[in-house]
Amino acid sequence: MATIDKYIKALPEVLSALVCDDERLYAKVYQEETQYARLTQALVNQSGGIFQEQLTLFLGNDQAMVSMSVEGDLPSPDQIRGLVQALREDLPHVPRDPWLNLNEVPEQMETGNIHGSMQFDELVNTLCESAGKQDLVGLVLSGPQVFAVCSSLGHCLIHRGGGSSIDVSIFDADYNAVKRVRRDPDLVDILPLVNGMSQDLKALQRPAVNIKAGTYRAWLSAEALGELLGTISWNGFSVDSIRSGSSPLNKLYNGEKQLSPRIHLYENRQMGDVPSFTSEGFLLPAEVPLIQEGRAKNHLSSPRAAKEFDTNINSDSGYPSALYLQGGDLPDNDVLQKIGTGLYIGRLWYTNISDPGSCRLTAMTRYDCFWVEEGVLVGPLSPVRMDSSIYQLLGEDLEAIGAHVHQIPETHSYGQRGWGSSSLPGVMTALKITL
Amino acid sequence: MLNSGHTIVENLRTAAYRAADLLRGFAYWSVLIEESSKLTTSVRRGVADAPEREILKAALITLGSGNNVSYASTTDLSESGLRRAITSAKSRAEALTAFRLMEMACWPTADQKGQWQSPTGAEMSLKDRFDYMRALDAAMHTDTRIKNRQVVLTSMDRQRFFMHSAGAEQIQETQLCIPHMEATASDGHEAQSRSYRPYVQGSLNAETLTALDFTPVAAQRMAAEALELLLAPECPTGTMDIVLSPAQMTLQIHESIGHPLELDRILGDERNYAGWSFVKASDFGSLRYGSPLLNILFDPGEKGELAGYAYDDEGTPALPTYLIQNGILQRPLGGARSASRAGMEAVACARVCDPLRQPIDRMANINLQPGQSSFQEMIAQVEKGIWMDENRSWSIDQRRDKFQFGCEWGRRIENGTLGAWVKNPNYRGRTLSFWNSLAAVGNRDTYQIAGTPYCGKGEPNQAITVGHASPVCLFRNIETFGGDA
Repeated sequence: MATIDKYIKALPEVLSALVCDDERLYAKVYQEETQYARLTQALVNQSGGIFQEQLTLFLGNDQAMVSMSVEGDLPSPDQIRGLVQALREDLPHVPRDPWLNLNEVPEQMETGNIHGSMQFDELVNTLCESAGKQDLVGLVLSGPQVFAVCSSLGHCLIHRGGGSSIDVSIFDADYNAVKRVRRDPDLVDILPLVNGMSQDLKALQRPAVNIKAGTYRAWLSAEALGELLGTISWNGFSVDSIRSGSSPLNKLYNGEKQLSPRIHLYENRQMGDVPSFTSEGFLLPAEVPLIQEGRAKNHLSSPRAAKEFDTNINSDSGYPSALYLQGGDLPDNDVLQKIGTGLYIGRLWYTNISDPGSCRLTAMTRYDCFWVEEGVLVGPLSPVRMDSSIYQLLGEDLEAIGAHVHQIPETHSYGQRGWGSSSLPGVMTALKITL
Repeated sequence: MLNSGHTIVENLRTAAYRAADLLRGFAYWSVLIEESSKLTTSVRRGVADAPEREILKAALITLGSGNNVSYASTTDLSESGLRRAITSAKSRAEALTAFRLMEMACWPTADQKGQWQSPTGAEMSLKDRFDYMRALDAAMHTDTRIKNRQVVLTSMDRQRFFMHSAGAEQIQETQLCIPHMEATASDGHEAQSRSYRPYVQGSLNAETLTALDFTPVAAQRMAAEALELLLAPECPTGTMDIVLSPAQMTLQIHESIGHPLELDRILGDERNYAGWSFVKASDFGSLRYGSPLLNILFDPGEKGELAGYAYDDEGTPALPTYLIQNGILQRPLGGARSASRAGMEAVACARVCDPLRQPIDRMANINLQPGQSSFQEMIAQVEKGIWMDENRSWSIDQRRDKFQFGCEWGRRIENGTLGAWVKNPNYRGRTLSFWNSLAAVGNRDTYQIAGTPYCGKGEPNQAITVGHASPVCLFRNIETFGGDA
C-alpha cells in the first residue's frame, strides 16, 4: 500500500502539469488486493486473489467533460499524458453541459483505515475446522482497499478500508438455515460464532408452519428492514427521481403521505465508514436527515443534480450508501413477547417495488423466519411472499422500533468490494402475506 | 492506449505466453486474458453527461499445487505482476489444501484450439452518437407531463485469449450494443414509465440501431405510451389468462428456468447469496417442468443474442443442448467443473464477468423454441385476460419457486379481442404450475431475441450478459392484479 500512497500523493502535481488554458483534470484511483475463499459444505470450493488497480481521468473545460477509466497497470505520468490527449480529442464532440459542477477549491482529506489481509489462510482453515461436518456455505474475504480523488487544482482526498469479512450460512437437511456476517473477526471468535449458529439452527428444527394469505403482526429484524430500505434507495431519495416523478417516495416528498412520527432516517457517512467526498472533489456532510418525524426532510443531490435542481450537494450519486434509522424503545429481548402471535422475520430476500405509486414492496422470507404464538417460537415459517406499502409498514402499522441499532456491513462485491455499513434497528409492524 | 483488434490479440497472446512460460513447471494451469473497451454515452432530460470510456486489461490465472487449485486475478500484466499472481495462487492452493472440496485431478481440462467472433462492425463516432441520442430525446419531449427522458448508448468490444495446460488456445472477440431509452410521464400524483432496451451482440452504429427500431419513431411511441398509461385504469384483479410478450418472457425464462437449472445452485454453492434450487439432480430426465409445448434450448450459437460464444471460460466447446424437451426436464446448466462434481455431462456455461472473477455456472443463451400459433390465434383463444409487455418488477424466492412479476403496461383481452390499456399489471405464481399452464406458443413471426447485461450472481459477485429468445406465449388461469390490489 505504500506504493499506491506514493502514486496518489504525486498525482496532483502530475495532473497539474498536463492541463492547459481553461482545462481541469480530475482523477479517481482505486486499488484492492483481496483474497477470497468460497465455501461449500465447510470445504473450500473456490479460492482466489484479486489484485485490481483502476485510474479514471476526467478532463473538463468551461463547457463539458469527458472521462476515461483504465483498469490495468496504473499509468505512468507519460502514459497519463497520452490518455489526456485522447480525452482532448473527444472533448470538442461533447455537447455543452450546463450541469457540469467541479469543485474549484482544492480539498485534502484522509479518512478510514487500511486493514491488511493478515491471517487469511488461518481464518479460512479455522472456519472450516470449526464447522466440522456441518453444512457451512459462504464467503471469506480479506485485504485492503484504497480510493482517492485528485485534481490538477490540488485535490487529494483518500479513503482507506477493506479488512476481513465472513459471510456464511449453516444449513440442515430440511433446508433450514441461519446466516451471519462478521467484519474483522478474531480467530478466537470463530468457534463461538459457528457454535452460536448451530444453536440458532436448532431453534428452526421444528415442523414448518404454513400460513395463509393475510395481514399479520410482524417483527422485521434490522437485516430484513435493511433489505426493504435498500430497494427503496435505488431511486427513492435522489433529487432527480423526486423532481421527475419516478421516485417511489414521491407521495412522501410531496407531502401527500407521511410515515410514523417515530421515523427519523439519515444518510450518515461517518457512521457508515464510506468515502465522504465526490469524484468532483466536493466534501460531503457527515449526516443528512432524510426523514424527520415521519416527514420528508432532505433529498440527496449529486454535484450535477445540485446544479440542475438548484440544491445543496450532499451525495456523490444520489443513492444512500450509509442509512441510519434512529432506534426506539423496544429491547431485542422483549421482541417475542411484543409479537404475541405473529411473525418474526429475520431476513427478506429479492425485494422489488411492486407498485411505485404506493411504494409497495414485495419480497420473500428467507433464513430465520418464525411463527410465534403467545410470545413463544412455534416453528420456522414456510417461505412466503410479503407485499406491503412502506406507508403501512413504517406508517400506520408501525408499533415499535427496536432499541438496539445494529450495524449491517455492506457485502456486495460487484466490480469491486463494497464499503461501509448501514445502521438500523428492527421494527414491530404488520405484513401483508400474499402467497 | 487504444489498440486495433489485431494488435490487441497479439498483445494478449504475448501476455498469455508470458504467463504460460512462468506456469510450465505446474501440472495444472490455465490463463484467461482480456482486453476490453467500453463507451457509455447518455442524454438525460436533453443534456449530455460526460462520455465514459473504460479500458480493462486483466488476467485470471488458475493453478494447481499441493493437490489443490486456486485462482489469481490481476490487472498487472507485466512479468512481475503475473509472477506475483502465480506465487499468490500457489501459496493459497497449498495453504488451503486440507479443506479442498475437489481433488486437482477432477478440475476441468481443455485442449481445443479455435477462434470465434460475434457479429462485428464499425462503431458510430462520438459526435454521431450524441446527434443520434439528442434526436431520440427530442422525439420523447412531446408534452409537459413527460418529466424524465433518458437515452443511454453503451458499446463494448472485448477480446479474450484462453490457454490451458492440456493444450487449449482459444481467441474470442465480442462486440455488444446496449441501447436504452425511457420516458416517464407524471401528473404530479403518479408516474408511469415506458422503456425500450433491445440489447444485442454486434457493433453500435446507425444501421444496427435502425434494425432494432431504436429510432425517433420508437422514442415518440415511448412518450405517448407513458402518457396513455397515466390515464389508463388499473389492471383488474383476479384469476385469468395472460399473454406475455418476448420482452417479458425473457424475465420469466431467466428467473424460473435459467436460474433453477444452474448446477452450482443445485449443488448448493450459491445458498449463501443467490440461493438454492427446487430442482434436484434426480429430476433430470423425468420431471414434467412444463406443458408439452415447452422446449428450452441452451444455444450459444443464436446469432446476435447477448451471450453467444464458441467456448466457455474454462475452454469447453459450446454446443446447442436441450434443457427441457416437450415439457420434460433434460439437462442442467453445469460447466465442466460442476458437472464433474455431480457426475453429469457438462454444458459449456462456466463463465466470468471478466478475469477479475472466477468461472461459475451461468445461463448464456437460453431460448424458448417457437411453436405454431400466430399472435392473433392466441388472443382469439382468450375469453378474459391481459396482454403484458416489458418487465418492470421481479421477485422470486431463493429456491426459484414462488414468483411475482410486474410489467410496464398491459391491455385487456375480452372474448378473443384485444381491448383497452391497463396500468401496473402484475402476476404471481409458482414455477412448475405456471409452466404447466402454458397453453400456446407463438410461431417464429412472434419470436424475438433479448437479454440483459446485468445478471447478478456469485461470491464474489459478478454481473454478466445473458440472452433469452422467445415467442409470445399464452398461460391459463394466472393470479393477476394491479397497483391498488
